Amino acid sequence: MNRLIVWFGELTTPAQLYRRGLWFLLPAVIWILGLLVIPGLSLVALSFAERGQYGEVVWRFNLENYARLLGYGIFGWSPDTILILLRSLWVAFVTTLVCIVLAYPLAFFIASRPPRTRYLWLALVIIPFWTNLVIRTYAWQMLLAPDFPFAKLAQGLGLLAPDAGLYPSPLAVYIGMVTAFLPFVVMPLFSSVERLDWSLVEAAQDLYASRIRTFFQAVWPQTLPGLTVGVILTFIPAMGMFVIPDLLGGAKYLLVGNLIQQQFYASRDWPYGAAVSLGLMVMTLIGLALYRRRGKDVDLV
Amino acid sequence: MTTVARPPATGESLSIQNVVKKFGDFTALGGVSLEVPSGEFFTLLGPSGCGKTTLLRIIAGLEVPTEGRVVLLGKDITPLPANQRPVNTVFQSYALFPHLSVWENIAFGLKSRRMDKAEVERRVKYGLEILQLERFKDRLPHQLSGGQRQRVALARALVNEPQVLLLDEPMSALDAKLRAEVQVQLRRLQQQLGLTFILVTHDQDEAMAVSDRIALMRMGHLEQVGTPDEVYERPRTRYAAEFLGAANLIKGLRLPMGFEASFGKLALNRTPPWDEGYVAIRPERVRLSEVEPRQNGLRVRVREAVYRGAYQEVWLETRRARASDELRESLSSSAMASSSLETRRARASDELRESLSSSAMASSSLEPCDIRVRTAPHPTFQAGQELWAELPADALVVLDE
Repeated sequence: MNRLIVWFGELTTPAQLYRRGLWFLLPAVIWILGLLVIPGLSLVALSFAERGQYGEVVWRFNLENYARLLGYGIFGWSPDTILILLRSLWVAFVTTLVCIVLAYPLAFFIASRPPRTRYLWLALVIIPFWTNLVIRTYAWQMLLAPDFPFAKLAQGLGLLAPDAGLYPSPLAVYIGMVTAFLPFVVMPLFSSVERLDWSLVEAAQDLYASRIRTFFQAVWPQTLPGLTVGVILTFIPAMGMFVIPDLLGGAKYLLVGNLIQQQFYASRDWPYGAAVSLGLMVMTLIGLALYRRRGKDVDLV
Repeated sequence: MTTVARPPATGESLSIQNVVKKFGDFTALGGVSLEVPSGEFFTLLGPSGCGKTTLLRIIAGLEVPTEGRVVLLGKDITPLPANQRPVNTVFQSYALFPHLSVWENIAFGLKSRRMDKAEVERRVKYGLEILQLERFKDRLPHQLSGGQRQRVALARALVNEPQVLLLDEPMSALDAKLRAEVQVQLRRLQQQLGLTFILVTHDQDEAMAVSDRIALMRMGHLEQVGTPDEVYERPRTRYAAEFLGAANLIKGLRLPMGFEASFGKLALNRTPPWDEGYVAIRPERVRLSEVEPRQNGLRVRVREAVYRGAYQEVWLETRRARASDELRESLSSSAMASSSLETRRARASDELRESLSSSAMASSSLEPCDIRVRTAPHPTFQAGQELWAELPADALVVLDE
């Protein structure tokens, strides 16, 4: 191929361009291979291995880890692991939902501020975001402790045993999760709300729509691009979250993130940990695929 | 054909009573009162920022007036929110719902009011029919052209059978040719349905073409309200004369049944109410001829003539009071005709004194002005050509201010 072509003012041949392109691709290829493909494949390989007596990895192919993932243990079938997976799914779902419900008024509030104070409000949303997650979670431990007003109030209302704290509990996990992920929903949603075409809202009002109908027909479709980003940024990390359930949920509210962490640290059962990780990944991908398909019907972008 | 529109009630349909709207320190509307009878095509005309859109939004319920009332068919609708008013709007940007098809967009208002399916079906079908949109009913707004979108917006509003249809510059996004077509269609549609239409526009041609009555607005006030020919033929103010079409404004001083401009005296049909003011004449009302007219004739020179196909536009130079011309003429011819020299000189000096005194009185305000004329394209005029221009008394409009 010695055909000469002009490429952005440079006289060259297609073969030469092709070779140059490969060179340009090399850093990215190395990066992805080294940090994504190879670790990913080794995780898959690891999930088919076996735990040795002292926690070492024994490379003997078997499917035992996946059987355990589905609940088949030494003592027959138990729903524990499946329950943990489903609970993680549920917690991620509720967290996302609560975040969305809270983020809408917040995004509209911020977007309706005059430009001078708007970024101040945004900063208030972002500042917690800059604070370490572990520190924030410990802060919630303190705030929900038995001697603090929240717990006192709950005790006074008879919702809580005297001298009990609000943590560890599922509620504490939800509070921690929602506060951790709220900025991830508010920020993209805000960018959509800021660019909202209000004439559609006026058109809906002009056409006799109730408030609810106005929201779902004129506002909601316009905010879908931001909302989608927010949901993905919340749902996926929330599925794998282990710091918050670990610190606020106690042993009774185990999520899949904690299960994986336990396998790699306390139990030293790497092959099983790998199998659980892959299970989580498959669930996440299925969730995303469903979300994409549903999203296509209302695709606006 | 099935008709959606109910026969309109007679009498005052919409009444706007002393509406004031302030945005902070800015007064967008300073006390506007209007009566629009049922079935009228009413136009709010004015430049951007004159408050016409604000007034429309107040009628629609999208804006709350600071003071005043909006009364529709005898019922005060000022406190009603937009979604409870029997009024629909065609928005400037059309504001079609991008995720809904044409059919669903048109059905939106009907579904909001929870009409039964058959009725929605029937009315949407009618709306699609009347605006020739059947072929596009399953398309999304972004798959339509500007003109089609505009028709969808119109259909979406009309199927609700509003008491009043509000149109907020609905044609500003269309190209000139399409706009002219849509204007005719809009007018026809309004007459066919017998609905009250209120159109907001800054385009005076559009206002003239479609309206029963025009309200000319300026800085939050109504400048003049009347039928298109009233507003065009009898503008009350300089602003009205200049906003609607072209006008020659001639400054002058009052005379009984006439006035005196820089180029001479002109007869009027009435005595102006002012001492010094303006008289307007439309370019197409000025008559040009080779012979001196009986009244209000001016000797003029063509400064510029522009051939425009259907007509030609001519700019005429007038001269300062003709007396001084005669003077110059007489002075130059005096050498030849010595016999009449004395008498001529006497007359000339009289005239000179007269013209000097009048120019001294008016020199600050009365400049010689150019007159713009719109006339038939043939015969074509040449720059420099001298001829007579007649400003007929009945075409000269005395402006109030």
